[in-house]
Amino acid sequence: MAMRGGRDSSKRGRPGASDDKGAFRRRGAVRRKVCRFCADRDSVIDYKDTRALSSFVTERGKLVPSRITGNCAKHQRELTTAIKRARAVALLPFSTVSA
Amino acid sequence: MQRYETLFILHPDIPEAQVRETLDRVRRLIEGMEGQVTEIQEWGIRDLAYPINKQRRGTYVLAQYSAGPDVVKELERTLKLADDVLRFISVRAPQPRKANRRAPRRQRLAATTEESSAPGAEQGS
Repeated sequence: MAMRGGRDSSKRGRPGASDDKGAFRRRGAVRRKVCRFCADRDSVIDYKDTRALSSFVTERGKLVPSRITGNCAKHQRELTTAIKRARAVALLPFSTVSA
Repeated sequence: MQRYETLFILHPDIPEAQVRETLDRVRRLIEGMEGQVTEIQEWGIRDLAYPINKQRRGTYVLAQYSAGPDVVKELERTLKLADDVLRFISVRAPQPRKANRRAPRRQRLAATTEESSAPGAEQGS
């Protein structure tokens, strides 16, 4: 498909070689996820919006890697700062493990 | 002048009148230093994600204002000294988006290439 050749620059700026490796590692069709914040340009990442942020932290309160969520690097960065700000003012937990 | 917002958490047990007074003090401080208060929003008492100073709940207040950087500094100093403030955070408010950013990228690109191709000649890649 389009990804195999690695020439299709519209699909994330991955170098061509790593695409082949990826195809080898996970067989079956892998759907490249689209960054949610790129898809919806009007959405703003806000540290006060606990509900939106909570879908990007695990049940333990850890950050979900962009590898899982499919966020682009830029928005993952914004998300990270937003979550850290939210933690600072006790809107989100640092950890939910009770000692 | 820059737009800022400061979110702070007040002790849950302080009387309503004292909350009013603190909010008033914040407003006066900002306006006294030639800042403009856009809004002071009271979120009410909310559960904290983790205890702060042995408290599990707190009154959240969001102050949005435009002011110089010295105002933020002074406000943070005041909040730090205030006994009824559990925690605060000040951030630069996100810039309101420009109108043209709302047009999908494809449309914007199409518009610019049309313009540049119409007079002829110049077209890069």
